[in-house]
Amino acid sequence: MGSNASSVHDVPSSMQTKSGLVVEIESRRQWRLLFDSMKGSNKLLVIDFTAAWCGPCKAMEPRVKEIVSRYPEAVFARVDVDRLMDVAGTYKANTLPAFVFVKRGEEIDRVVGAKPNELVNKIEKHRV
Amino acid sequence: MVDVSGFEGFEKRLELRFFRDKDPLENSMGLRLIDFESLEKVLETVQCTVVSAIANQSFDAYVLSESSLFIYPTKIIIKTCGTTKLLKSIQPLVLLARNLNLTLSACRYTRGSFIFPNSQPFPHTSFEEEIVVLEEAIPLSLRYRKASVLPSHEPSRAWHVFSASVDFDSDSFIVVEVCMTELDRFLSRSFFGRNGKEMTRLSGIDLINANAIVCDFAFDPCGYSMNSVDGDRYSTIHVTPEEGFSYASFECVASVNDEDIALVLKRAVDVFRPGTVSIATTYGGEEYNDEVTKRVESVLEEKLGLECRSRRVEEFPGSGTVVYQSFTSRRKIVLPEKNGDEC
Repeated sequence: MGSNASSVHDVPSSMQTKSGLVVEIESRRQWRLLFDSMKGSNKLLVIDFTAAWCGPCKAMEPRVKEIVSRYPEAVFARVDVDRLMDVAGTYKANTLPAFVFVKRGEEIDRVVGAKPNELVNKIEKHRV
Repeated sequence: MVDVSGFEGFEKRLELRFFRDKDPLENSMGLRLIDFESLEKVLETVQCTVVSAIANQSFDAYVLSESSLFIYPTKIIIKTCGTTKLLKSIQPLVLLARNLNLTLSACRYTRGSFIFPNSQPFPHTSFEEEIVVLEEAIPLSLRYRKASVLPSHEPSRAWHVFSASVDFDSDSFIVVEVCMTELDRFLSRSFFGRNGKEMTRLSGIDLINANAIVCDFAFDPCGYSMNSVDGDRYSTIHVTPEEGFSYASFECVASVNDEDIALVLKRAVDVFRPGTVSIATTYGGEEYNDEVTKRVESVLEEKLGLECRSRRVEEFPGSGTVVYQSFTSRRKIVLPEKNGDEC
């Protein structure tokens, strides 16, 4: 069966799907740039909080990929809670996966747990 | 030949504990490092899949098509209902753990009595057959073993326990497994034709532990499952609401320093107002005294009209003291069934 320890840490550095995009946030600077650039628009920002150690996050990944491709008008940003601890702290992302909905710099909703149906419902609700 | 039968709500529960790695440099995530694809393969052999999941600093919690899976660094708990072949997961899990340098230290298998025992596949057709499979599946290093059936006041309801361990160390948690049948018909309606969140709120399940984060799932056209996480504690509820074979389970962990476990149980049982309840409490490493047992009995009697009809206590290697209590709703005893009579 081989060693499984390494495969869990294989998080792709960026995910490009056909029409939707998940931005992998690698640094605090990158986060600030994205956050500030979206403050002025009415676009929906969905922060996808994950961690390398989070099995349930991995369970959710394929569904997230599929959902993201259906909503190209929203921006999905993936934040590793260990890499960007202060961003995780700001949004109190202790239970994962957590999807935080932000518009004009303010949190408007969130989904906690691998719940694809709830994620879709809330994107539909907030995308306009 | 398949008789008239419905969905089997009564679960089979398997708990596997592993020795903590002594090397301080080793990753403290332990079993949580098992990759998701491998977990899915194991669940496939058991014939269930992940429908929802949640994780925090302490553990991972998965809601399955047939119940729940919890993964801590050195402990795995799988609870499955229906006609799943839970024991098939033991060897693949032990192997996956060994790849992470984790050795099995204890194994416990528990279940109530099936509503439809003839619908179960081998080896779940009898406890004797389950024991044979368990004995073969676990390594010889687990040399202290005991299997026992704790009876209740009713011959068709009993609690089956198989416990095996390398030594006499037990888990630090107290585990409480509650099984309820003959659910109140009106209250069961909360679990038909809604989404999970609505079921959680409508039924009052969100108030059992207000601190916990709930991960719920509604089945189509009816049925409900949830896991909740609160620090290193889980709780889990599974509901089969159909009349004729209605069933609900509630399981949680506690410690002696907790808020009154009797009140938590009262809140959980009150969601369903069942005709029959059984409670199996595994005390792990805790010193057993019957204060908690008696308190649970008095709270359930006073607040919910549930009369304790039997109580059995037994010791198991690797699990500590197991107490099995069985309750019947007073309304059932006072008003016996009569043909055509309205109660």
